[in-house]
Amino acid sequence: MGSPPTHHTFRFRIPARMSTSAVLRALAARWTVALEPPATTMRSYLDTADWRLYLAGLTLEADAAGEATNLLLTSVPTGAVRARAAATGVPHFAADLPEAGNWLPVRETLSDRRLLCALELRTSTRPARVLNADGKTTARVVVEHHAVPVGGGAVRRLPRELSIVPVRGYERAAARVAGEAQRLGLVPVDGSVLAVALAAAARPAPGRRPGPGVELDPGMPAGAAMAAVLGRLREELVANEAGVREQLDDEFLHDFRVAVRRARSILKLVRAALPEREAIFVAGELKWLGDITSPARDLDVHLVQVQPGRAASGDLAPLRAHLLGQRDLAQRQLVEALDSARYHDVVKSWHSLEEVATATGSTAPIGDIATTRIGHAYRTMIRRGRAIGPLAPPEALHDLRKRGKELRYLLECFERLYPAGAVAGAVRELKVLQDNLGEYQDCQVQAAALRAMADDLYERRAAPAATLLAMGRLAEGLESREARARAEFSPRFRRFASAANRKRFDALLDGRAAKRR
Amino acid sequence: MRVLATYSIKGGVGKTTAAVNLSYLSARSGARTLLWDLDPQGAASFLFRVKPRIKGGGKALVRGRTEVDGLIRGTDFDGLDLLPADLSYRHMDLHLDGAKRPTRRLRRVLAPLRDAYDVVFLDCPPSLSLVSESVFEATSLVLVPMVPAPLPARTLDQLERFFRRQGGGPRLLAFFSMVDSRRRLHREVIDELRGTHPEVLTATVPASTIFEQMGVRRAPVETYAPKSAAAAAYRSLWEEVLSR
Repeated sequence: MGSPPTHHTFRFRIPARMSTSAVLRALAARWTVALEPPATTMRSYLDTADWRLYLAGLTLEADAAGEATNLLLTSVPTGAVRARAAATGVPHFAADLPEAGNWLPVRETLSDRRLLCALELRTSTRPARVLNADGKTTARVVVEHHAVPVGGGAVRRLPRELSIVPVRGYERAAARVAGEAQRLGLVPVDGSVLAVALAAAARPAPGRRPGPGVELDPGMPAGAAMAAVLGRLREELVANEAGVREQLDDEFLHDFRVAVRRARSILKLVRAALPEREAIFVAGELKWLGDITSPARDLDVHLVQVQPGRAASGDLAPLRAHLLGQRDLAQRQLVEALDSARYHDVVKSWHSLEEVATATGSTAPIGDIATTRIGHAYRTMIRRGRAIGPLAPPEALHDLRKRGKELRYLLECFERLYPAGAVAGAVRELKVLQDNLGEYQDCQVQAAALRAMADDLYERRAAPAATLLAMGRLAEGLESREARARAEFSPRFRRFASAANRKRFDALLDGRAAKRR
Repeated sequence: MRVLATYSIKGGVGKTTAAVNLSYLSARSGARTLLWDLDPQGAASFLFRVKPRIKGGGKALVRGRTEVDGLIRGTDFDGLDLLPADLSYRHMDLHLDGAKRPTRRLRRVLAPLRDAYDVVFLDCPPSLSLVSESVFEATSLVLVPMVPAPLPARTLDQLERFFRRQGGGPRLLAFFSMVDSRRRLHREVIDELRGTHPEVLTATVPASTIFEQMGVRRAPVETYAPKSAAAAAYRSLWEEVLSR
């Protein structure tokens, strides 16, 4: 076993009729096989909420064996070991990873995101080694029997697997053992253990989370189509709720809020397709839901600025402590709101709206309505953007950003009504402009908030001069970025309003294009 | 990639024992570790049960005609690989002598492995020759085992003088091995040398039958006698090397 292994692990499923001992006996009949003590481990697959490691081709496992935790980093397609280490505990952030070893790809991929337990497996292992005449290990074999928790304390056992791990320089030995495994009737396994286990636990496969788009047909009645879109967004909201409550990672709150914002936009822009009274009520309640999550999200954004390790983080430590205190308070208030009857009623009303929309909503084809609304949102952006000159007030840019978000939500929610890839191209172009508007507004809001906080800390004598000075520098940095973003707006908008991009939107919105792929 | 050499002009002082045990500890800590057995006797290769033979021999390797990647063998231990010895290494001086810029040759052999390993140990043959000079060029730290007797102290001085003449050289750290703390001579030599040579480490490796078993068990002491004083000594030594 060495690093870096260049050959992949062979994996086979052991048929139920064949015992583990029979497999090992069959191998021992051909080679010298040294058995090692069987063990049971709890294996946690660690990744961020949005599967950053998996999408970067990495799988990080933490095996708890007794008091030790063994970390193993492998490549997704081949199972090749990239790094391994004995750790004192399960890492939560990049900074918790061992210093020695090839952990840089994980650090770079994680950035400041939190590692969460994506799946836990209880695994019984029966390891053994294939030896040559010198007693040298030339291949490792291990029979693994995984059990996946499926809820309510129940577990589902996966079929036993035989893994054959090559030792560097002795790859042919592993290939020979794999050949023998095949001869014995063992079946080669495709797909990672993680993917198989998630499927067994009826969990979505690792990878990009599905967008808000649902399967729609342009001819579908608008009421039913809206119900499907709103249902998908409600599922997204509910899926993130536990992460928001437990404050596992900023991403949960962010995604929770995006689901709310998307739903609000859809309710506003396509309201005519919905039963009016119910839609107005839910829209109002969604505004409340957005409002109760804002303080916590704003503080998350501020906290990123003063993370340990960033510039002047030492001087800014009192500010960080202040923000963390505020964040705790905001979290308590948020959880209280999520525990309230009002929140439960919002989710219930949202669900009811979907049912009423299906039954009594507009029967006009959704394809026509969506195309009209997207076209209108696009033209509104062009019109308002063109009115923004060098002296336009910041509010004009903030308003344009809101219109841009509405356009993006419409495009994403109704994506499946259009030819494959057409919406992605339009969103990509829109994002170039939105990133600029976002940077402009975020810097402005954060700088203003920092100055207000500095006043407050000064009044209360809650921070030393060094902290206030560092906050001033931070605010200045944000204001410089804001100015750069403002200067960058015109070229970005010109690109968005260009003939080439208009052609892209025209093609998308052309009635002939609005058909199923 | 950090390259360390276990080196001594004198033989039989515990170079290979140190290289095998320290490289094992390095790998166990999670560092991707390679041990290059440069000694034609191939003791480290023997201890890891790897045949002391490389395709094309040492000449092709140091002249850049063999890809080093294909010569590396995995040991029985996670994260620890071995570049085996070869009998042709006994002519390494000649092979280097005939090459351009001979003292840079070993460094060039290791260059393609820069991203693949965190730590590389060079287990050197006992001599002060072109091979040693090439080792010093490739290494950032030379670890010198010494038995507690007057002669190794002289050897250490010679080596320091040699580095000074070369205009620097790698960092030098020394440690006492085969120490019998019951022997007054050992205690006195250790105390004296520590007083005059700050590069002498505090950790000492005892004379122990546990080390003799390495040849039979063909494994690092930590794997078969983790609770022994011998294993503890290498753990302390490795910690001290890392901290220095």
